[in-house]
Amino acid sequence: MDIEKLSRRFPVYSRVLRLYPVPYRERYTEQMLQTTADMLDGVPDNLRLRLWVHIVLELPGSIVHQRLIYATQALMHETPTYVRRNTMVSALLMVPFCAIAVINDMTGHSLYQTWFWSYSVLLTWILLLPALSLIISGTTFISWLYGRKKQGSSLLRSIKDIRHNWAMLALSFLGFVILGLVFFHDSVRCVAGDPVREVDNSHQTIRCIEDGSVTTLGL
Amino acid sequence: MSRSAPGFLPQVSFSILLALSLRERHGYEIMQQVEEDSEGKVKLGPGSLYGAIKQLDEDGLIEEVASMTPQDRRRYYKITKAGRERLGAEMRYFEATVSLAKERRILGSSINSQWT
Repeated sequence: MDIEKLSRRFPVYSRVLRLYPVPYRERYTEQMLQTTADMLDGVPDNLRLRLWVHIVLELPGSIVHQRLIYATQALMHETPTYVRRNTMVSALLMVPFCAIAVINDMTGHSLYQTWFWSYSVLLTWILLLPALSLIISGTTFISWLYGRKKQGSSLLRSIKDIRHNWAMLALSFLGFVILGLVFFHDSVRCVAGDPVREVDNSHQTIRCIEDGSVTTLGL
Repeated sequence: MSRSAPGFLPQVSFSILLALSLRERHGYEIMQQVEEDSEGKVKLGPGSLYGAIKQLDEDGLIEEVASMTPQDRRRYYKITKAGRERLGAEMRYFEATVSLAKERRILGSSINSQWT
């Protein structure tokens, strides 16, 4: 059975398979449709629904996995060296924040009540490193856009080229989220249970950190 | 050590190589053989099957071969020499592990005599 007939037999499923990356799709879509047809033809009618559930349930994981492989290959083999290097540095700078955030979450601590409590260290891992990471990924993204523009690619097209810019965008986004969280989110203000209870904006948060009052928290 | 640790094939890839060790097969035949070999414990869908096939193909452990007949549009796969060597290496490891397990009375009839 050729691919047109198979696509007509499974119209929705064949559309879902378009979510796979192009090279994977070109090579395996027809085979996947054929195998699905063989599977369905090989079971009694009353088991087909169960089979469909099995087929559909494993699709999201498989699509995400292939997308990740595809995106990683693009980053490693199809982007300039400075993008790879800066992306790596930017990602490494995010590691302390993410690691401590996970540890805090596991141990039931808030951002400003971390076990890793020291004013200078705190300032480094919640502000300086994420900010530096954001600056590096953001400037790398802008440089890359500029380089693409010089090669004749439109700005919009470059921005939409997620396959090549996903790492820079993701790191920039993460940097914004972390800094936004630190500066503006009420729940992470430094004064939960602390003498300076009324802090509710970024200036006061910074002041709270600057005067070191938070260092007395719980210690 | 994890089944997906370096040097070890992931479970699905291992099962596919084992299924192809007898003869070349197309996708659905591979699925059936994997299910039979695992006594129904490993059931593949097209997503997991072709993801693993892609990786095995890229690693040179299997290769695509022409269909048996011109009318048959299915793609057939066969295990390569490198694939057979890899499967053999894994099997030898398992064989040694099973021997060890028997020696330590974790497996085999000795377990009954120990616990009953």
